[in-house]
Amino acid sequence: MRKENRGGVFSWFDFRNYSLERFLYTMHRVSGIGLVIWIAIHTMQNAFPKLFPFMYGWEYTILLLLLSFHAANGMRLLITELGFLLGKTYRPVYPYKMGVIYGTQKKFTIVMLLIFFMIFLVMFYYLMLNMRVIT
Amino acid sequence: MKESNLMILHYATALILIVTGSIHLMANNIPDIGIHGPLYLANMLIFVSALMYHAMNGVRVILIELVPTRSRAISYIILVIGVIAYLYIVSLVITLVR
Repeated sequence: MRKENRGGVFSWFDFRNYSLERFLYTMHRVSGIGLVIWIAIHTMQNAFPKLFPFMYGWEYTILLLLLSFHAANGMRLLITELGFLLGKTYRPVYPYKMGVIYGTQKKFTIVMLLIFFMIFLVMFYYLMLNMRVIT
Repeated sequence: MKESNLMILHYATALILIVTGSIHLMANNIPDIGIHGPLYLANMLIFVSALMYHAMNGVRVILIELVPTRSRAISYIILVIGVIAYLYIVSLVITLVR
């Protein structure tokens, strides 16, 4: 019987011989699971504020990192999976050129990472304002 | 429902989440923005509905990818958990906003 090629959760973190997009795929999943856990925590904080007090500081900074990454990478996935901003295909004739992923899509990925960083900085600024760290 | 339709809904809720989530964050963290009352409640209800679908479908997709032989059972379990959690969160939102 042929063995199924399934590596499970640990294979998500195997980045050897893979492109940047593989790393983004894993981070999207990890941030998604983190945000689901956050929904549960945030609901408990609102339902029982004395038992689960609101968090500020590094916990919120982690949330902002997860949130801004998931949103920016999600926009990239939405746009590329609908077929926009993809590189041009080519006939596989020697000497081989770089794959489709290295064209427009790669530039778009870099732009997405910059957008992620900008969203994070804006949200972090407002977090610091609300925590009265900066005025 | 077909998997492709579920994924289209997943993308649609992602777009809704970007808009309503931004409004939710701005309304709670920028005091001068002026989103409160029925407008805030309406935004929260749309936000929570989109969020619960997006989150539960995301978890379902991950679990089905890990255990493909149990896809039907996983879908139904996630549906039941999602509906219960959604109803609880909606009642909580209505109580807190009012």
